[in-house]
Amino acid sequence: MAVLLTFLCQCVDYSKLPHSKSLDQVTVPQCTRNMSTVWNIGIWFYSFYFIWKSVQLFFEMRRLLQIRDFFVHLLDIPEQDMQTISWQDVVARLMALRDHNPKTAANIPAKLRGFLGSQSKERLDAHDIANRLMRQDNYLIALINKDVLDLSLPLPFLRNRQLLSTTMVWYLQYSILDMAFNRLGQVSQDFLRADRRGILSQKLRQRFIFAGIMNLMLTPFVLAYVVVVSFFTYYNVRFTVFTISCLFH
Amino acid sequence: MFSRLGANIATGRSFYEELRDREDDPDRDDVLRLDEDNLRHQFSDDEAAIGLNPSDSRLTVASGPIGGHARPLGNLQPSGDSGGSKWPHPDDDFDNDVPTSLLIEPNISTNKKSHDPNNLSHAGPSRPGPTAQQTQEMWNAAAARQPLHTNDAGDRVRDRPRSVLTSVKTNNARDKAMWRWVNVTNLDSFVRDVYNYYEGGGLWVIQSTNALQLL
Repeated sequence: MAVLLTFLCQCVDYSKLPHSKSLDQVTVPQCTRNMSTVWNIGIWFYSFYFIWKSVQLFFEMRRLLQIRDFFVHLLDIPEQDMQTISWQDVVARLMALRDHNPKTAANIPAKLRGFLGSQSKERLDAHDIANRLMRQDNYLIALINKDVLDLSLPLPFLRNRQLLSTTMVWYLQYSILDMAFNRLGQVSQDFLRADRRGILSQKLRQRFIFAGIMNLMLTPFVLAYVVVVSFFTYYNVRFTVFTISCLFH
Repeated sequence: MFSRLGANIATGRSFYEELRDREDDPDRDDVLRLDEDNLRHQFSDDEAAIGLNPSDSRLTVASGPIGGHARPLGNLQPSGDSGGSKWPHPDDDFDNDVPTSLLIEPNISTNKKSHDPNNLSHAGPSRPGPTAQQTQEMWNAAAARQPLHTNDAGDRVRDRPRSVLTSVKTNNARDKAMWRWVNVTNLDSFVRDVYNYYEGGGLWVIQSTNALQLL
């Protein structure tokens, strides 16, 4: 895509286009020498990004292969079924495997369990899996549910009403959730200590201020992005609504 | 205000490092100190029961008293509740189901060859080593529960026990997968990986989606 854009913008002389008949007459020779610096920088960034992403893709392949082996061999779900199988099925088969893992098994004598170092077995039923997956979302829901977060705007017209937009969710996730959870998605122990509340609250306030400043700076880009994404998402729905309203008139 | 913010950000960075360090730091609350006690207790169990040979196990690198063991290895949290495994491992960045309890398995397998009473003297005065019969029972219980693969994931096992066990050295893919599942320590990340794979729709779909997003 970068090559195409570069070609279209820099290497084609548009003023000659109405008069020429073949591609050779229109292209500027050696256009990479004459490119503006901004474009050059853009291309360098893009190439670095490309290289980094491909390296990441390569390493992710390894982990994906392991999970694929797990699915294919242990859960008995072949590749063709991956698109059609339901999550309940996967969870049911996963629960059937519980006995093999020492952390979740139920049939180990107490002596051996003490030997392994864990005090109690970890649950792995459907409820527990859902909890593990949705830990951060549940935390945010609980915050809003308990009215811990005050999301009303200080305008006289909108007072006493809570407003939660997509970008607001993003900022909340940045400021609260990134601090409460560590890199692996588990609650960081330090967050729960009562004696560090002073420092933690000050840190939280700082994060909010930072998020607010970033919001002011990034608003036009974010707004454009959200509008474009919602347009693409609800494209089909919009036109059906229009047709239905036309039918009524 | 910006200068204050800048100063706060400068200290903030150290705050975050402190936050992360505190996760790694074993010298924390009573709750976590209790874990450390358990960990220490576990090691005395290990060493007493299995008779580690210091030369070929990574655990006894700092071959001092038992209290000295818990210190460098206090980073390891026995359950997956707090941050993940901290064993220095080459695959750590990419692979969360590092079989950290793998070290238990080879230790069980080294049981057969080192019943050295000299090694048992490392165990400390309070725990006399159990008899060879007890270790044999423990070994049988563990071996009966799951097959043992000696050279399976070769780049993960630090020590390669050359034992005369009855385990079959097999390269069966199913057994490899079972081995990985058995040794999963961080269930949260494992379940998250499974769910991402399910949502992505399979290996090729995920990779082609990522590749096409690059364009």
